[in-house]
Amino acid sequence: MLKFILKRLALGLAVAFTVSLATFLLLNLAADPAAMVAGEDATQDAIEQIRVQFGFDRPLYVRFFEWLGNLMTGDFGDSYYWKQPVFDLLIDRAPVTLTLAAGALTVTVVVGLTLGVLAALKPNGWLDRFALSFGTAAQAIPNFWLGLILIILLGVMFPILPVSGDTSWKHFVLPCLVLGTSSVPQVLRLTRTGMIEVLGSDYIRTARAKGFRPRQILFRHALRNALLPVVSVITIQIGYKLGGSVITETVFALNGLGRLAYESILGADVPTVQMLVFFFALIFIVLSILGDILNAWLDPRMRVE
Amino acid sequence: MSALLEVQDLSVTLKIAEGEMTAVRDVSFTVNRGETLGIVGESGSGKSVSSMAIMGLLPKGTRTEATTLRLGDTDLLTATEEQMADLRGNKIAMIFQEPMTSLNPVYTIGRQMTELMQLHKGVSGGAARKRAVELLEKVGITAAESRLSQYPHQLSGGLRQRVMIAMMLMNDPELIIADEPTTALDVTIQAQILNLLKDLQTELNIGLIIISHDMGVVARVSDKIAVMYAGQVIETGAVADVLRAPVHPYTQGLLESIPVPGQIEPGGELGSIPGLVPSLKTNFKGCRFANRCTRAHEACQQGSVALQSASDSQAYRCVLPLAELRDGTSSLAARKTGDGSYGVGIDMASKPLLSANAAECTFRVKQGMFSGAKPLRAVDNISLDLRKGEVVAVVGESGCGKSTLARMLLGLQDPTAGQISLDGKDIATLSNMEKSRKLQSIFQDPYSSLNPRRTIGEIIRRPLKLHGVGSLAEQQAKVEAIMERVGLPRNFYHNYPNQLSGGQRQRVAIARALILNPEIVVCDEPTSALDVSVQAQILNLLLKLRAEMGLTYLLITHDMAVVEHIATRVVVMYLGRVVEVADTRTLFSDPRHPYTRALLKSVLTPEPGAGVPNVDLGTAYPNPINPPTGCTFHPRCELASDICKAKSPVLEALSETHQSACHMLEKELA
Repeated sequence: MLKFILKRLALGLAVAFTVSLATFLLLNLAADPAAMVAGEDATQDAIEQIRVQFGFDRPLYVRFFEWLGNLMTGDFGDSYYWKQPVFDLLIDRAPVTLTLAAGALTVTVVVGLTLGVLAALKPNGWLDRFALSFGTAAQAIPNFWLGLILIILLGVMFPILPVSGDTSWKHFVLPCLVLGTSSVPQVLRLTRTGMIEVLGSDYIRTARAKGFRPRQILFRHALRNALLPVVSVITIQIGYKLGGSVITETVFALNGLGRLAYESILGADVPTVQMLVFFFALIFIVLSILGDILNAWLDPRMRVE
Repeated sequence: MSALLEVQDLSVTLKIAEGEMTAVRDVSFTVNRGETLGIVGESGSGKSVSSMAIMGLLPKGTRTEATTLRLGDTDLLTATEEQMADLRGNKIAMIFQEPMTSLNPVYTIGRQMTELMQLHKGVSGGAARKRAVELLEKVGITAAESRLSQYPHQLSGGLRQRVMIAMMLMNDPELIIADEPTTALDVTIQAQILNLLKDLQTELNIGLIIISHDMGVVARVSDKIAVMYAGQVIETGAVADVLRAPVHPYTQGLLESIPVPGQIEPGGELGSIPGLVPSLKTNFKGCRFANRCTRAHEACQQGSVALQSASDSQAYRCVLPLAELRDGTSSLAARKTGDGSYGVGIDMASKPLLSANAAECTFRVKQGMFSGAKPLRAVDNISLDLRKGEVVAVVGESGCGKSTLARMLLGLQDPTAGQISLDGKDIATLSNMEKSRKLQSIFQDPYSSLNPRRTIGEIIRRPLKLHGVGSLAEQQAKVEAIMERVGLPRNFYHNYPNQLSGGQRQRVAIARALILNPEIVVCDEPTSALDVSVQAQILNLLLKLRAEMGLTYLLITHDMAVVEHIATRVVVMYLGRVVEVADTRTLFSDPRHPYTRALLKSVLTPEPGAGVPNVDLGTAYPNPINPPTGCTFHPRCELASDICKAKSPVLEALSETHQSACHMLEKELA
């Protein structure tokens, strides 16, 4: 198991390096960074001056390894737009986004898993039909639209929840519901299909022949097997959550990383955008590793010997 | 003493989409402690449903009726779900067909065994583990203690079935129901598992029900037998009586459709039951077998037929007088003569049609993301010639490389060394069109080898269309001719595969293979997915077509009885190598390689009371990625000596038609 974890970590490191390279190249080759920093109306002279001042005239690989080196030592560079260290920006904004992601994930897992399992217990029963309709609706409704409707409903018509800002837990209820709902369909369907398949499997028949009661079969013998594919999907969904936070944070005026990314892109703030992309990627990588480890813990067949 | 299990007039009605279906009707039997009842029948005969009814494991909405359904003192009919759950895995245990999937993949063997004791006896921890180790040892598993922490995927199929048996013994059951316990296993393992079950049963004085489609299995292990057909027991009695002197025409037909050496000339026509096993959705009137019965007359179509006794120990469900039924000689005689289609001349000096020349196929298998690929030699240096008119059988257990060899010979898999030639030309240089004109194939599973979206006519016509043979009218005429030849009614032309039975679909596959008039047909397990009576029909058809069309067959199979019946030459494979080649008669009468002998010994002919031969090959089939050194068979061979571990034997000629690869050949002869 330890060997398995170490291997996954090594692989994760390799992916992280590739992502950092890709991010760096994308942002530095897609447009002239000096021109972006200088702004639209800048003269050619001003651009050249900025190029030298910011070091954009040096070869790409030198700048990449400098950036990477600084990254290792915790120096994330300074934001051109916010005029402060990117690190401070991250520290400042991350808690909001992480809270949002965690809340949304809780909604996804609780609603998706519960509905999925209940639906699978009696395929084509009324609960199953309800769950599937709910899933289809949740998939079809765009995120931002659901956000706006909830704001009108619970913020304006029946003002029980605040709709903008991030100062109390109440502020997070609506955004988490909105962001969480968008991932429910995938989790719900996968849990349902997985559970139906597992409940029809030979080893569940064995469990019944052993004299286990339906409840014991569900929780002891079926759930763990049915969860295996769901775990992988959930880790990917968290990635989407982080990506989706850009829109959700804007709609609900939450001051998190998503909003920071949005503003930094508008402000052509290369160091911040670069760092945010890399940070999101890193979280994604860590989550995949955690997902793999969780899966290996759940399923002995996954443990490479 | 009253019986342990008493089933009287059991009927089971299942809920289906169209309403209801009576899957089992008026089934009666008893099982005593220490006694074995064999239930035999084809698919859809209701044998599994009956056992699930005893276990109380039928789906909700099922109606189970009986005059008596009793285990010991418990009335299973009136027992609540809670009481039934208390019995399952405790008083009644069940062993299933699929050892590979019947154990939960995410829990250790130890946990799955001990939880059963915890559930019913409240015994856990050390005591339960001790019992588990004891039982694992009892079922012949070595290093039992360490197995407890292993997971199912770390064990072979045979070991898993042993674990399953050990697990079901945890609570000292009174009755064990084994539903096709060895069907998914290799023949040599089958013998071991059956012996194990029998030994345990005697030792622990358990009642045993063995359900199987295989007459051989049932004949060898049962004390009494119930033959089921279309949801009814149509004949029952002491195993020797029923199998030696079957009364019911179905039992007689079933026994005649099994190729049994000594009772039927190789290549002769097997007795087969015409028609199909009826769907249980049929609204039966009169005898359920009447429409397939050669002796049926008007009386058979009316009323219901009751079970009547033929003797103290034998009963049958037929309206005909016993004396007339006993007089079954006419059909047996017809079967023995056969038409000698074996007599298709084979000129062993002629140029081979298809040959493998030192062919090898090595796959590279990656076991983990970071470990390098390891070579797996699926086929190792095999040379083989196929001459016109031959039926060459390639036999061996799963994983021996026989299917890879077939794929190479079909030109579907390139050899990594050596050469395959078709009519003297390297097959790698031939186009698919050229290959398919001479070489065709039939596969095991007629359910998945036909395109479900094309009609039967289109499926069979397709090769003609691809090859641009003749006009549409000519093509259709050819299709109709071949359909008639393989015994498919003309009106199937516009039907789809899902409207056909397994045997009919296999006929379609045969028709498709033959429409281009090929020289060679590769048959990969052509009958193993079919019911026994249907298997006989297909084997008869293959033999008839061979004689009529001058075909040459390469037969890939694990069924030695089929081999003995239709093959002219046999190639025995073990772990990618040929260990013995001989003409069929020689191979079966004078096998030389210890592995061939073990294979032949494991064949279970339906001989009542003969017991199961003791085939002890020691360890399990080796992992092809890490084959043993020298002779790859040496770890399982009782004759093995030092040279076998060091040096790999080569094929040596014993006679003109007989070769074997074994260091111990001479020693054995001496």
